[in-house]
Amino acid sequence: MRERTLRHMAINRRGFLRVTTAAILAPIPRFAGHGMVRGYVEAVPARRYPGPLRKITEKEVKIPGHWAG
Amino acid sequence: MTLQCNLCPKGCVIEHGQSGECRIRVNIDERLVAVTYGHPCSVHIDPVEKKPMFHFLPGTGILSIATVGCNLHCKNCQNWEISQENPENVSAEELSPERVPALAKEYGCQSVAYTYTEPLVYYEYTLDCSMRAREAGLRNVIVTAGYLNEEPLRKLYPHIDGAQIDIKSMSDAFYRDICDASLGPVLNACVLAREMGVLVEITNLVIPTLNDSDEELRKLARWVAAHLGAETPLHFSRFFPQYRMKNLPPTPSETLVRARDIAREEGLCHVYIGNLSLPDSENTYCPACKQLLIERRGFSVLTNNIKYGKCPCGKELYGIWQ
Repeated sequence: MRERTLRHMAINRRGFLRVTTAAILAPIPRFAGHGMVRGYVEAVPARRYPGPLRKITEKEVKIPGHWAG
Repeated sequence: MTLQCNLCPKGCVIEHGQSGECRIRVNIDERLVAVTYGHPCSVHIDPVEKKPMFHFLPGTGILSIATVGCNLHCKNCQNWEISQENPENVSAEELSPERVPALAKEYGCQSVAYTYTEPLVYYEYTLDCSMRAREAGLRNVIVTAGYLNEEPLRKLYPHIDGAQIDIKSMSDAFYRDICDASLGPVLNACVLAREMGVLVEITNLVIPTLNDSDEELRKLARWVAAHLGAETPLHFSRFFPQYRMKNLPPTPSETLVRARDIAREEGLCHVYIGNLSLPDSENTYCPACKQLLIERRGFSVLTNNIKYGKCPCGKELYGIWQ
């Protein structure tokens, strides 16, 4: 049986370059979008409200709001 | 695709499915979407004095609407249940901009206020409602912290008649620490409003130990007089402990009276005290002849001697009176 030493676990230069290159390039697709951030001032109206809806009632409208302002 | 919202100076970079700091501008399918458009969480008729707007159609009711969301995160926010909450957790009503003028007229209001939270972050709704209201012969008021970029303000202001702008402090450090914002854009918004013919009233919430020094109060009054004009109404408002600032006491009445005296020393003609019932703290006097023109108690107008925007002595008063 061959003896396993540190020398056997070493990778050659080509292997090292492949692994290093892959490690550097792999995250690029994940961050590619960041370089192309589009800026907007105005937003488009949503098709629906994300929270619960309720009806406007005359009683609610007629009384002054309890919020400041 | 990641988007950037350039509405306010924060310039939030928003990932897919996420919202900006205001919680209501969301990146949905690579489009910036205003999720509260047409869905106010509060619709009420308030006395215009509650805004507080003292030089704008005194004694009238104003249809006041607000959606969820704010781009500031003040530790002392009075309306934090709606301003600092996600829209998913707050119920709202359906009210399209086309219906707003009809609703205002149905209840006899001459004007519409975009208030309670931050009308500048539900910008598209404020803009569309104010355009519709104008077309219907109504006036528009925004009650705002004024933290917005210049370009959208230039587009909005022509449709706005009155702006109640909250200058929270004259210290940039205060804005950073307490509100998560900065002072410069707020002052620019005030000056731009004045330049574009919007009636401006300023409010300053006086908080013990944080912004109640003589120097800071004087700096505020001096800035208002120099950049907005001595006839610009300035309201000093009383602080009450709430939200994330329960460690400080309510503002003593002496502090508010001192603030008013300092502002008057700096030449301001109309200085009011709010959130506190003090005799003669909410009345309007003529800057020329010193005659009592409008007597107020709470949110009620008891007497109004202004005729066609003028004092009986002939002095024209800053404001929208009819």
